[in-house]
Amino acid sequence: MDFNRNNIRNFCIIAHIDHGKSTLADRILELTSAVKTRDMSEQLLDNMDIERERGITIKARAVHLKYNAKNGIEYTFNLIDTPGHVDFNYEVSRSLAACEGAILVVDASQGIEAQTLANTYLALEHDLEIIPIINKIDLPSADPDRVCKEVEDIIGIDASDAPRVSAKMGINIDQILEQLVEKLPPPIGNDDLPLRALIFDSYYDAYKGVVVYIRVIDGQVKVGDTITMMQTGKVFSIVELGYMCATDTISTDILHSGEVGFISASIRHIGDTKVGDTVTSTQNPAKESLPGYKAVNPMVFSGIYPIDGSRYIDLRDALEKLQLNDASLTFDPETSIALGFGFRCGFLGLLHMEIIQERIEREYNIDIITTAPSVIYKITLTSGKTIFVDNPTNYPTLDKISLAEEPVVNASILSPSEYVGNIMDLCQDRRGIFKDMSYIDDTRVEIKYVLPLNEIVYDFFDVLKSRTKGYASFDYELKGYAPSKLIKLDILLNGDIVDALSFIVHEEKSYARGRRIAEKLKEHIPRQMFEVPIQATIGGKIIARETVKAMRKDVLAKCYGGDITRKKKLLEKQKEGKKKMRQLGSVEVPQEAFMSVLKLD
Amino acid sequence: MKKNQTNLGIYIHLPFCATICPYCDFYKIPYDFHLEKKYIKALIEEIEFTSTEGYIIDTIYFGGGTPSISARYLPQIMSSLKTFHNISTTAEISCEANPCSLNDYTINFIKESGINRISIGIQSFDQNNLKSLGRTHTNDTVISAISNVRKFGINNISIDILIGSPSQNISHINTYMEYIKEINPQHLSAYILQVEKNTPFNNPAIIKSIPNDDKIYEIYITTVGSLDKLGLSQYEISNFSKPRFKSKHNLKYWSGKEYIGFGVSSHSFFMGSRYKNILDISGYMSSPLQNKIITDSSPNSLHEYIIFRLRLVTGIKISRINSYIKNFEKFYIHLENLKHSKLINKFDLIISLTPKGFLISNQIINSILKFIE
Repeated sequence: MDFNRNNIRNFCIIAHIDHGKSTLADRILELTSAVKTRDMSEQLLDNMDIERERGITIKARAVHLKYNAKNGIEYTFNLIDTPGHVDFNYEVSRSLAACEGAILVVDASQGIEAQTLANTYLALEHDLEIIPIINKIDLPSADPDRVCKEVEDIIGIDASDAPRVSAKMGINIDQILEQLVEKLPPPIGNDDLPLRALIFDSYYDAYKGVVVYIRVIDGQVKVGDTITMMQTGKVFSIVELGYMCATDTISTDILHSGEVGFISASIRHIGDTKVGDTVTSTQNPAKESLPGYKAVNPMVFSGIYPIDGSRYIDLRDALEKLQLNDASLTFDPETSIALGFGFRCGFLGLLHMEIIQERIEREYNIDIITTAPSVIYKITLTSGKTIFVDNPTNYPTLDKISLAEEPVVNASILSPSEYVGNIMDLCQDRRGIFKDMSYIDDTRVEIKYVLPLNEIVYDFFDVLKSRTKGYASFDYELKGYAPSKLIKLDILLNGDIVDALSFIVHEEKSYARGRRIAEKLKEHIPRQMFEVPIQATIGGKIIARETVKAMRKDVLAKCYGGDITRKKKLLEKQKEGKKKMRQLGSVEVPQEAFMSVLKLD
Repeated sequence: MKKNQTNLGIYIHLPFCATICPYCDFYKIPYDFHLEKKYIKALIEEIEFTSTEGYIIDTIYFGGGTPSISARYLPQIMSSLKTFHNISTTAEISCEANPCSLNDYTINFIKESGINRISIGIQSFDQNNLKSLGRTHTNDTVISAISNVRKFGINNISIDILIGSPSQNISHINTYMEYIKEINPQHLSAYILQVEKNTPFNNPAIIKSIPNDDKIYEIYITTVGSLDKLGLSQYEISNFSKPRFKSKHNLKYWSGKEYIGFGVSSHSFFMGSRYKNILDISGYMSSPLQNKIITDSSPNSLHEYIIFRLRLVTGIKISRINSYIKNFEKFYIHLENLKHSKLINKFDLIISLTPKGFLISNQIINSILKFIE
């Protein structure tokens, strides 16, 4: 078949969580006959369980589709899926760079959210053509006219002919497809230029090695070509080229400029294929790489330990496998006096961290304990040396610190105006510095704060949601470091410091935090054979104390009539329960206790 | 007598009850005249066709259900036991009884069958308490039933009481003690009420009315002390007796001795394996000889030794477990900690639990088993 660049449309979907992106993608897949109905499991694009359950897309995916338009021409659609969460901003920007257009999905009753707005601005920066659509028109609370006006007022794009659809009910989806044909420009490209292809995602396949998703910007690439990754300098020979379809792949010999597809080249390490990197020809290399590459650095760190110490190697294997598909996950071995051998892991954000934890537990069946997340503190020592600390255990004593700095972010919160008071209270409480507030329309405001990152990594988003009945949305980007009065808080169980529970906190909040943690631990540590004192200390000074009373009574079996099986079952059950707990000295601490200190409000 | 003959206990399950108590989790069936007749026939078949050759039966225990309700069949059951099994002339033969079904008529059968120990389910001496437990007797019923039993010459009497029944408090225990003093039993079992899943007691209102763990601790410790003053000393978590009146049959369960069960839902520990009979009366009756299911063909005797002997005040011998301990130093630190918290008694040759320790014996047993592999 002849290659015709004019019949290609590369686009992505921008939507807030719950605004129906995945459902819409499914409908598009159905209408382009990409999937036979019997192959349809709900929401094909999100193919990880966790994604499906949480209704979010973690990693980008690309799908190659064929559409017979009303003008009689068959078009090739490349739908590039983007992550919808603030933790994955950079990945979003790379996916956008692979497209000419974007479908902006707006909920017909809820309107535009901060996350959508941030991604839309990002798309406009990349000169993407935006096709707004109003989704969920089937809901009784839908007000498409108001939402259309909102799109025009806030983003400044024409929404007069925006398709009004219901992805769930399959209403007016064809209008979207026609607009993709009519409104989106085909890719521009020149096959004669030296190869430049943008990596926007990759995944690890047990047989093929790392498979790289690319958008060819300039030139062309063929099976057998030798390619160079311009950032990492790694060289590979192409084994296979192809297109990712909804349920399978189609191999091809060549990918032209303007096309989206995959490369398989016996690549072993995902770290060799960095998102945003440029693939070029080794024989005829491009002079410059494509713009916009950025090394992604983890912002949040926490220790991950197996509850059963003998599963340390299993945990390492699990992290290695997860890292194959997720280059932004970092991990290094570390040791905790309380928890033994484990790993210090770096994440893009708290959601990323939770996803990794869940995957370790679910996909690899390892029960783990996660220590309180920490950000990277910048400490200038009295010796004049500057160090970065991502583990509270390594935090120097106060007498050795001449300046302590913590990372701060520019945060933007969109919310109905009635919750402004609640939001300001929350931000104030989290040591925020108010920057700006503007009305988007009559009822909605955008509030800007500078917030310390360590105040938002715990539970900020959860609390924000609960204080705004779920209406507020939130976005942030790293601003830099700011001086701060930080101290280290230690927790003692039965008189011994549990290093895994230590954390860095602002001086002003240390007493309240210490008390709250002691209370939380008391709630979550079950009564045991001996009394367990819980203490919170700063520099050896006790600031809070609670006691878990000794257990008084067990479930006792009567062994009636010689039925001893029941007794044995009870003992077994109890033993099983204990496997979920970590023995710290003479104290048994359940996983929930470690988790409980993360969510204090 | 042959040299190699060993002792064996026999347990016989009679599942019928006049009324079903809402907390009871044992296998029981509302009384039915015709079903009872068919059941006894099957039971006797099992007794007659199961061989205990080479064993001397030194204890027999009729449990239920309410065995006293089926009293008129006891002589027949005993006679087939005597015909087909080698029953010691000094055997302890116990029968459980409900105070309501202990009258001249039933006691006569009990006496005639050779039963020499009666265990009476009293559960409480507080009228409101009894009502909440679904028990229909009064304290007067109990007193007259017991004097009746003695009148027939059965002088080994055990009574059951419940700890942790709805709304129970320490003052109830004082009342209990006055009655117990008056009855002056040879043996007493004080079980702690456990709400089981498939019982009517498993409902929020009942659970709320049950004393919490701290209260139960108080009640239990008080009970142990008060019974001791009445000459009923503790020999197991829930069992108390006058000197020489421990239940020989129940001791078999806790000390790894063999016993065989007859009847629906009964359990056996026989020729080195543990068995249970099926939990369904019609299934049982259709083939009484083919329903023993092995639950454990090679029980870990060391684990069982620790698990069951620690129920007894005599405890476990350190010499018996010594060579299996993984980390001696840590083990002894652990024992010191347990002693310091008054959960075990001072130990040199044996480890034994205190009453405080008995209440959390599962925890302690598992903590000791952790050192053994």
